[in-house]
This record gives sequence, structure tokens and C-alpha cells, in this order.
Amino acid sequence: MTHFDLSDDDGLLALLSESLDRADPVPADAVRAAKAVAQLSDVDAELAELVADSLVGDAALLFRHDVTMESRGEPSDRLVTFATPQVNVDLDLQADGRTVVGAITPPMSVDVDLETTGQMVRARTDELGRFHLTTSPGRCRLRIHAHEGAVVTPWITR
Amino acid sequence: MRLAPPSTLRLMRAAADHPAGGSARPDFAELVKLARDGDLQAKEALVEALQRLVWHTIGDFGLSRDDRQDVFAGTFCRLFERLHTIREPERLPGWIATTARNEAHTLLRARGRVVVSDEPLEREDSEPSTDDRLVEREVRVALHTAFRALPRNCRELLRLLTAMPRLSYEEISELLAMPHGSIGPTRQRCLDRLRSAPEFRPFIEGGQP
Repeated sequence: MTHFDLSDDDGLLALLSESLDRADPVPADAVRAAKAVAQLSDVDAELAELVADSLVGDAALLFRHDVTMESRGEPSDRLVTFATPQVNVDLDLQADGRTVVGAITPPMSVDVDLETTGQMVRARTDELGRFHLTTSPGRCRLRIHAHEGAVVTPWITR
Repeated sequence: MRLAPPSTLRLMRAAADHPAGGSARPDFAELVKLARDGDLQAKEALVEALQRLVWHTIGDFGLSRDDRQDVFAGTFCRLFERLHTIREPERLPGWIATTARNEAHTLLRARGRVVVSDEPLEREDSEPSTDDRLVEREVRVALHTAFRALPRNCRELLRLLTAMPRLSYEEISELLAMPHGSIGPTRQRCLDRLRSAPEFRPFIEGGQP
């Protein structure tokens, strides 16, 4: 290892790297959460595609870093639709951040799992394909145990 | 006592030995292949190998600590969900840095708000037992303070340049939508700004012959 002085760019970058790691380390909780996600199966389920999202086109889409806004006025539900060639699912992600109401078409009575990064809750759809679930807040996805094979939605940020 | 240059030199050397100083990239092609078959250890190894890159990539979005952790986990959600669609696994670091940035934007959009984090990023280093350690800590804190005062484009670039695993200029160019040829000069300009920051100046002057 040769000598460094502070006018050396690579040395300064190396020092900065160490400084960032010490001042702003990756929290152990975050790593645990990411590893918990790794345990959820992504194999053997068909990934549904997002086909509609009430959030897209939202005029509140602002990335200003010079202002602080505590919240938007009225929190509202978010409606999203996912599809595979076999099944469609409409989800109403309610404004409380916990409740998800949905329906699958064609209508069928099957098990659906709502997964979050730390939890999974299951419900049975009724004969019209409807279901109602409540979880902890945070990102989630729905797994549908359809007769032809499992379908899973992409992770949804809420 | 202000600053003993030898301590600074020792610190520079220690930093150069730090992993970000240049260990080889893990074999991402192999890890992705195993992970695609559901190998849990391979998935966890991907988390280990990419955690630092993801965490620092989303460090300058003004996210609160909770939101930053959420985006961090969400980025790995996206990775495992999309494993089958990744065409060039050897370029995974660039892919995941892009994904992390997109997830940060998505979260800000879903909240319909911008939260500027005023939580202190500094963490007290424990047990500075000797003068040397005290100096080391002073240098690091000063450097970090100077870094935080840089313009955002400099912070983003320098974070990516210190990322582990290393990103190529080509990957950084895509991530920041910055022409390849301007990365070098911008890096130079940002480092010069860092050096001339008031917090850091005493250390530089002390350290120069």
C-alpha cells in the first residue's frame, strides 16, 4: 500500500466511503427485513401485470426537496388492477393503509394471501370472487391460489 | 491540539484497505441462477452483497429513516420478484441501483408528499479511547459534514463512486443520466469542493507537505 495524502482523489474517495459507512450504516433491521422477503417464494407463481393504477397521473407527483409538506389534504383509496391471461384482480387499497378489498375475475372461490414484508394473512373469496383483508401497513402483494396455478401480483407500495 | 498528519495518513491507509477500496465483485451470474431456483442462501448472499449499494443509493432522496428502510426492503422485493427477467445478471449492481431509485420515487409518489428528513445521520462512534482515535473521529465527522453540505448532484455521484460493489462509469452514467465523458470532470469538481469545505480545510492543510 502506497502513501496517500488528502490531495489524492482515490484516497479521499476511500476515506469518504469509510466515513459514510460509519456515519450512515445499513441498519440491521433493514437487512433482516430484506432477508425475510427472500424467504417468500417467487417460484411457481405467475407474476400478474399491472394494467391500471389510480395513482398514475396523480397531479401530486412532485419531487421538490425545498419544501416540507406534512400530508396531502384528504387521503384517498388507491385502485389497482392486475392481470394474467387467466385471471384479473381489482384491488382497493384503502386510505387507512391496512385494509384491502378486492375481487377476482372470472369469479371463483379460492384462497388468497396478502403478504407484507413481515406478515401473511389469508382469506377465502366468495362465489363472486370478492374478498376483504387487513394487514399491517407497508408494501404488500396478493397471492391467488387459482385452480390453474398460483398467481402473484407485483409488490405494491402503499 | 489540532491535527497530527501522521494519524490522518494512517486513516487514509485504513480507508484504502476498506472493502470499498476494491474487492472483487461476487459472481452475480451464479448467485442469480441459484436464486432463480429458489436457493435461499443465494438470495441472502445477494442481500449481503448489494445492501450497502442500495442503502447509499437512496441516501439523498430526503426520505425519513422509516421510509428509507421501507424502500430498501422494497428494492429487494423487486429483485426477487423480477429475478427471471434480469437478462444480464453480471450487471446486477447497476440494475438494483436503478430499481432502488425508482422505488424511492414511487414511495414519494404514493405518499403524495415530500418529507425532508431532518433526522441526524451522525451516529456517535463508540469509545474513542486514544488521541489518535479522537483525531480519526474528528476527520470522519468533518468529512461527513462537508459531504452533507455538497450540492445533491455531487452527493449522488460521490455515493455511487464509493459504492460497493463498484459501479462502472457506464452504469453511473445511465443511473444519473449524465454523459459518460462528464463523470470524470464532475468527480474532480465535487472532490475539489469537498476539499475546500470549511470543516475539512484544517485537515487538508495539516496533511499537506
